[in-house]
Amino acid sequence: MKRGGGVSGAVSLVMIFCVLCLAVFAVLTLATADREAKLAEMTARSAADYYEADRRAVEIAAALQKGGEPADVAVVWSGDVASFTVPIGEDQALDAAVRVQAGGPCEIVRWRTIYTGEWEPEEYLNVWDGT
Amino acid sequence: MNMERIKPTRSGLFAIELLIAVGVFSLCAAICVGLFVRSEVMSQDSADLNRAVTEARSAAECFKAVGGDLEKTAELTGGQISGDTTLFISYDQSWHKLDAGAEGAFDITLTLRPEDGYTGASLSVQRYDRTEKETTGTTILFWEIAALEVAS
Repeated sequence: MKRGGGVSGAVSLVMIFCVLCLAVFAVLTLATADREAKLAEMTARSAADYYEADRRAVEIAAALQKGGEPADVAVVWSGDVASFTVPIGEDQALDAAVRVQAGGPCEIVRWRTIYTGEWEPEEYLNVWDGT
Repeated sequence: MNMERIKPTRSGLFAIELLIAVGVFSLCAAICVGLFVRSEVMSQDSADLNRAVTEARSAAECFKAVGGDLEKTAELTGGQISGDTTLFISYDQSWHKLDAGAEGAFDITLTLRPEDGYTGASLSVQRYDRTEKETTGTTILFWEIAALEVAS
């Protein structure tokens, strides 16, 4: 440093470094927050889809108990057990089976979420054979 | 008239550079702090939405488990029944359950809607922003749920 002055350009260099650091951290923080928000919305949408399908399945079970059969759902009977599926979103479904009993509430035999999308199993694994 | 040109000194140039650097840094820092604040608000909203889904799911499963009985649902969830058809569960800012009647930051409202052969209900989660003058409520979640009659 010379007498009566500073190192020309050093201040600008430090400032540029600080601003770059601030900008990078700010953008990374914003990107993380944005991803968190999208994940939270996806979780909320998936839960809403599930309860919508669940409500529809309860409607169908109640209709079956009363002796009716909904026109828009395929119901498979096996004795007194009625099975049907209700779609949840795009690639899931609620697979339900209820036992219809006279004079009482229907009994839930099966009430589960199944995956209905396409699935390709991994059949090839590149393993070193020792040669 | 003697027009002698004044030469800039080294310290003068340094002072100008310092001033410009401080100005540019302040401007950039203000923008970045704005981004940090926006990120914090987004993160808080995401956390609230996640917690709202968890609590709403818990209330919905309690409602379904007791076959749509509002009193039993209130016992299980620790909520308060208002009228004959509405259940309120209040939470504070950190999602801790509040006593019945307390004014919370979040509310779960379960409103019964009897249907033919089953019990339906609308379940919603509201967030309240309370100031001295007014209270504004925002609905975070709204689900239509249903429960089959349970054998006694």
